[in-house]
Amino acid sequence: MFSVRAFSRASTGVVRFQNVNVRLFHASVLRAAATKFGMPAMSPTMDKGGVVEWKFKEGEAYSSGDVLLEVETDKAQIDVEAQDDGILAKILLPNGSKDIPVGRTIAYLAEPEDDISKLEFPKEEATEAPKKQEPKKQEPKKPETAPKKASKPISAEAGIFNKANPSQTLFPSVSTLLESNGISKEDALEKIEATGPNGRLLKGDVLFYLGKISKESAGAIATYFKAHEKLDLSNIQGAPIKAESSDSATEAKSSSDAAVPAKPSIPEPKVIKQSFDLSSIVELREASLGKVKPFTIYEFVSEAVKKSQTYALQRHPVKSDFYDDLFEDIISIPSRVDRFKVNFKINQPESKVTPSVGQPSIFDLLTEVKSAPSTESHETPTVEVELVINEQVADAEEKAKLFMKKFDEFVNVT
Amino acid sequence: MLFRSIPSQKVVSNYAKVLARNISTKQHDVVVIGGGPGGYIAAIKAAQLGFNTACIEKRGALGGTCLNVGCIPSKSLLNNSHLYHQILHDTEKRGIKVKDVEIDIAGLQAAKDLSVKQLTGGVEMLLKKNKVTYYKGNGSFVDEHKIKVEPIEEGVEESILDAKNIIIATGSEVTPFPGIEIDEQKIVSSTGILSLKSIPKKLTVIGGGIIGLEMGSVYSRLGSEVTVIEFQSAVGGAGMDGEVSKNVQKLLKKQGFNFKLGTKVLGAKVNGDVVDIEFEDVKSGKKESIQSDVLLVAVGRRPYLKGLNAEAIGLEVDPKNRVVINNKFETKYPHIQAIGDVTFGPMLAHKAEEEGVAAAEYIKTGHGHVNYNVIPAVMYTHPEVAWVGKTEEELKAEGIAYKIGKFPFVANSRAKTNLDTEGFVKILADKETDRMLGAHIIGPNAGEMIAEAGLAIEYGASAEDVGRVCHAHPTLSEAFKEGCLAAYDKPLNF
Repeated sequence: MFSVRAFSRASTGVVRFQNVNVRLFHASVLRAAATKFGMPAMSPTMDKGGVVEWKFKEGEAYSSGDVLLEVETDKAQIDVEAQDDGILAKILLPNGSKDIPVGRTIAYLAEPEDDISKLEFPKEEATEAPKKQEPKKQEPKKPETAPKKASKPISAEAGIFNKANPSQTLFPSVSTLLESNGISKEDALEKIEATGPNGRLLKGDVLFYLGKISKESAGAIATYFKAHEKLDLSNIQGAPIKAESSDSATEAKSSSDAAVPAKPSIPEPKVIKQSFDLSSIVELREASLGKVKPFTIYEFVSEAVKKSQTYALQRHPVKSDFYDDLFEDIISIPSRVDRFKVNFKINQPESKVTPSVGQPSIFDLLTEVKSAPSTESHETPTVEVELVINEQVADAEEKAKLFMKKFDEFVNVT
Repeated sequence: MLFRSIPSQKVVSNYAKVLARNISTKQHDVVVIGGGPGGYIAAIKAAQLGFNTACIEKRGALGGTCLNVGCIPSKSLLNNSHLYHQILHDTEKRGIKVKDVEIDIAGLQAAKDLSVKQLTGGVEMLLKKNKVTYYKGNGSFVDEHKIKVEPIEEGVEESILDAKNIIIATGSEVTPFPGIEIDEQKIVSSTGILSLKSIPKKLTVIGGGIIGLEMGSVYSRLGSEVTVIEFQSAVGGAGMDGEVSKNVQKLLKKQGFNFKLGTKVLGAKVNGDVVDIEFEDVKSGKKESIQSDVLLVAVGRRPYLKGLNAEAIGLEVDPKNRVVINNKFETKYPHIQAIGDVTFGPMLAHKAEEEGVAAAEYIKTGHGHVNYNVIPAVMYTHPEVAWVGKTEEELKAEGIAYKIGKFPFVANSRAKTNLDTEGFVKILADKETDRMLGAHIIGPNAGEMIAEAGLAIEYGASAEDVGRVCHAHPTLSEAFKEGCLAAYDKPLNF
């Protein structure tokens, strides 16, 4: 138990009369059944007590505030007041009865308007007494753990038991217990103290009210939950943060999971390189002679680069049911953001170097750099394409790969 | 060599721009640094509460570790590798004959990337919808009210944000293992393991926590021989219930995992195509070594504060680098809060989200709600493992008397018909009041089922309260109900 010992210590010697719960149960008028009146717990530590004297006789009516009986605990004799009007229907344990476990039925009570002669008395008893032994069996266990928490006594009174929230829907266990004990919902919400969040009545609260478990049991678990609701921020040794050392910088390198450094110190740009065989273009060029406007290898390649780029940078290069235009419009990076830079170089056999053959394309004019003949000799022309990726754009690499794919389609026409 | 520049790619020098740059100052009520699950949720909540809010993220994509290199991509791999494994090994007894099952690792990765892309994009849309100003860049403190944003995109100006309130949600990073250098090719972290280009024949995992066991599961299903080395004598990490941990180990062992518990790793080196890992038994001191194609280092995470320039304002951290806060998430400056992995508590996305909401509410109203009694944890192996509330070990340490209600899935009709009966539901309830203290589930769909336990504990329900709630038949959730019945009375179907 969560500091049961500490808890008892805190409350020992204090007779908190306001906490004396006189269990005056309203019997349902319809059923006209008497309600059990259990031995009240006069203090959290009390587990048994005695009846000193009944102040009313069987069949007598009492009103709210009347002293119903005098109860004897190991510490004192205490008057038990009635909280509601009613009739003392039947006394089970007479004056002088001793060692009565808390919660054991000592009398039956009835509503003021009930006819006692027709009253039904709930069957019971024998089973209830042994149940009360349970908390005692546990008793020896408690001291083991108690000292640990002794320095931090937790009073079950500190906001643990609260007035029940009147607008709650009762838990199934609670309504079952109330019904089987003939307690109306209104009564329960009025009289039973709640330990649940926002004044919620819990099963344990009703069990305690019915005297089936002790107040510690009900309070301790709620206290335990309350204590763990917040992060434990005790004993934290805080110190002003130190500037990042070079040591931690190298560590950062190894843990690539860390977010991309904002301004990397001159990062090595990522480059994708691929070489394409242009023999099919040469064939195509020869095959198409006379059919279309003559073109140079260079013209073809630069046009293919341009078209591949348009393809790669368009919004949805890949068809998918998952794409929604409106959605993509909001989330995607604008197509004008530079993803990659294209460099290419055509390697042609000497004889076929033809940059100046035919009319220069508009692209040749725009680029100030002219292609110069390569001195290398190849069997078939090839083109080396190099994409320098702007890694600061999330989808740059993906777009670059799309570019390569499309470009490959262009130059491998056969 | 001659390279040609393509004219359509305009090569514009940035120098003139840089020289002429006019740093603008922008006013915001709330500035959230970090766009992970804690940060973006805090930003949305703050905006919904009527604050002029900004969110700064330098990754280039929102969602933080969770969406980009954590929970989400790993779940894609786990789910799809499980499907593959089922088709391969589990179809015949169900009367389905499948021929020529093949794994396409590139396709597997593409499916993962698509999920990640859509989700991170979705977050960006959410910020837009809630009118949160999103700064793509690195946020760093100038003073306790001013934050400088260095943009990651070219052509965007640097700006200074003047903030009334600041929420630090910079998250965490992989804790490196001293002496082992992560190259993300052969020796990988939880990030690199998500994008291996081929299936390693042998995979060794340092760390038997949730990340290690999940990623071990993925590659074990894809055919890798997986060895898990753990310093502690139990798997699953500190938060897992002891009994659950033992059962998890048994189940994974049956799936082909090798476990080396109570074992200390001494070092690991890439040696050509393989990684040599040296370790010793903690008790006997016996040294051993194994070779592995890939080594995953998954020994935990640590708070991430790099680039924040927090030293400029003298932000306080504890020896583990966690930002010191009070119960309202306030640092030594009441207007600067810290939430999520960068501060105390379990490093979980959903915990950070709760804190994000609460932090925004604290700014608005002075109170917020996070109940640390009810932070669920899920391990997405198969069967899944999920828990919320207290473990038996915690209750014993606190001296709380409790009852246990257990119900095995082998007695659950749906699990039986699904031929998926491994695991159990275990309910811990207070002995006297029957209040539910913890729920621990190993079994199919445990991660979804744990929500019910969270709700019960949040409301202070007893085992009986759940046991008396009608659960649909035949469902796996009936096992949860029966576990509750077992805790306060007797199960009906067992």
